[in-house]
Amino acid sequence: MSPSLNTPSFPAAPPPKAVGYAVSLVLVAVATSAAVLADRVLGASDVALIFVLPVVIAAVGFGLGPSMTAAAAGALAFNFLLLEPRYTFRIAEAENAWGFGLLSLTAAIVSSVAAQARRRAVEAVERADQAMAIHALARALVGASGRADIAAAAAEALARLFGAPAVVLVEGDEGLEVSASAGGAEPGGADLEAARWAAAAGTPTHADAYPVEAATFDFWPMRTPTRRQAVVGLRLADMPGGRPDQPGHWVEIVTGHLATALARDDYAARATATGLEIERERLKADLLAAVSHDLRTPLSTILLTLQSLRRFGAAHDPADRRELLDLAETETRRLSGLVSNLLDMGRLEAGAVVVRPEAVAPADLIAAARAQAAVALAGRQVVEDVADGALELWADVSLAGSALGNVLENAGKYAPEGSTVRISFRRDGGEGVIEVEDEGAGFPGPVEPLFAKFARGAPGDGRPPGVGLGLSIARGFLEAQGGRIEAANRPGAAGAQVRLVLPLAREAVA
Amino acid sequence: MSAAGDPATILVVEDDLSLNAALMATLKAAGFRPVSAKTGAEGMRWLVHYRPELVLLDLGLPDRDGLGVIRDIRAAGATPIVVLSARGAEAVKVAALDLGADDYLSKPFGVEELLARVRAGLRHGVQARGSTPVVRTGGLEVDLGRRLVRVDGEGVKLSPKEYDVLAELALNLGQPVSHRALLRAVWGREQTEVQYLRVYVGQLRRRLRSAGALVLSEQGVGYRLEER
Repeated sequence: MSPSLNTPSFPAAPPPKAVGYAVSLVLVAVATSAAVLADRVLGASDVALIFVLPVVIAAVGFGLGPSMTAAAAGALAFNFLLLEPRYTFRIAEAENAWGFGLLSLTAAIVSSVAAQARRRAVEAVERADQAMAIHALARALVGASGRADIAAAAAEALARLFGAPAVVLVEGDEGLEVSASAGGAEPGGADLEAARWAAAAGTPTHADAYPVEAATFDFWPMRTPTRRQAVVGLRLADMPGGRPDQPGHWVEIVTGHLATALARDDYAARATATGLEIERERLKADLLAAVSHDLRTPLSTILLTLQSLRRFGAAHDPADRRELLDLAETETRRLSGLVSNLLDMGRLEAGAVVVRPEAVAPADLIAAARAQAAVALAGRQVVEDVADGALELWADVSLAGSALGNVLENAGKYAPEGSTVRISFRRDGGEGVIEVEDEGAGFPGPVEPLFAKFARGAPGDGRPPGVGLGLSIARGFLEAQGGRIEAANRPGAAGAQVRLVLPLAREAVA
Repeated sequence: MSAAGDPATILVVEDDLSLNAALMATLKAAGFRPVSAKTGAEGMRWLVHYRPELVLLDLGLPDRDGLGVIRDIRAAGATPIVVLSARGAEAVKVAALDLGADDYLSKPFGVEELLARVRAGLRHGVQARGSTPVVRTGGLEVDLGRRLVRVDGEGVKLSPKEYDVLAELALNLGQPVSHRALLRAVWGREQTEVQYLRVYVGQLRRRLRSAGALVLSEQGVGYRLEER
């Protein structure tokens, strides 16, 4: 859009006047020479027609003044050189006086018709330019996102339309602020004051006039359907043709586009905010549903076993009594694990995880994790395969153990009873990799979403116990200490494969 | 619990192993013959095999949707179903009742609550086969054959709609009836506002005087005529 500033379309500049007069006189001189030559073969009245040519050319090309000049000069030259008595300005015959009069009249009529045609042509070009500018604005606004982009498109359109510096102010969080300028606009303090006044009063202001006489811009205020205010300003004194009579028409077209685009932006922002809010609410509802299911099921068992023991104490046979006590204990542990997971998630979210890394043997880490996941792993065969037993990891035992424990709990939950869970450790460059493989159904779809909070493997109906925090916490704990977690389905066999990667202790790397 | 005195068979469909085991031990101690299933498929298998007098059904099963299991049990027969679900999941409870479940227990629940619902469910199962025309609870007596209502032996006048609401609750004595089921039974359509139903139940409670307290609101689900 910048080239438009070099060729402003409003108003179209006419050719310089002096050039027009000079060219007209040259044309007359050429015509006179031609007439003198033609005089030898033609009659005087025929020769006179030659002088019509420069008049018409000047009228079409330069307007009334140069064309009248051409008429006068031509009449004088004709009189002086070609009419009897020659070489005087006296006119002997009435016929010749007619000739001079008609030449002047022709000049006047042709030049006025030509001037009108030229004005229309100029106007047509102007209108095409203005239409192009509006079209360009509309196109730019379609692609614009955000208030700054929208304001910039409007400012450039105004600068192009008027060939004058333009500025667009949009109401932001801290009131009206300059959002874009074009055409070298640098509004001063007085201008901003005038813009605020225009916005507050809802009426346009003029430069150098009440209420801010020091203002150099004219301002037009507007308000979007979303009640957002904006003001556009133009320094019309800088227009090449001076202040136009009715700038308001084009300004209104631009502000109309501006208002629509700003409102659209507002609606989009609101829709995004609403979407985020809905997503947050959905997460909250998911958490509530998950927590209510996973806290209440163990609570049901505990309540039922205790009341059952009290009410039917003697009626239970000893084996049942022992089982009920075991159940109450197991479920209390499960509840406690669930609560610590929820607390861990809270710590991670609050950024309150403190990492205390030390050199730790993988076997110790695995042992700690297996103890944590003992309930979930019951009935599954656990196989350990620690290849590089002498190596030590650089990790926070509690966090890394908890992460691995969560992964093992998952393996226990999703793998069928009697299946094998394999835990292996090996070195991979400067890193240690702990791999957990199970013989469950594997991951049902893409793995990445499972690391999100409250994600569960099987959605809806089949709900193995758990809030869906396990993998999310494992990732958080590992990343907090420079590790990472990767999950995939086992290649070539059913089941999941989760890899926990942690740095090796420095002595081990060396 | 049946007439011959041999214990009633109760099918427990619950995927949580601990809760399943606790239910089994408790029901056994209370004199029932419990059968355990951990999945919906296993539950359907035992339903056919053992022909239980009642099903205790957890709605969150690993292999299939609990509501689908209700549908299948209903397709197979009128075995009473008591659903186990989390407190707060009212929409699921309503859906379960609408699909033909007879009652529900909100987790966590205690032994007394469990046994009361199981007994009510078993009784309802017996009634479904040979319904008694007169329902009695507390001081309330509803003669379904002659459309007569008495409180403490004294006749009570009810409008036809109020009587219809009470009769529907009495038919399901001790068990919840969802708003929708009441609207359908009394007004013949479900579009009627629940608010409308509240007004009738409010009037019904007043007319029943001391027995009005027997009409319990089941928050977010429906109403229940308490069994005493």
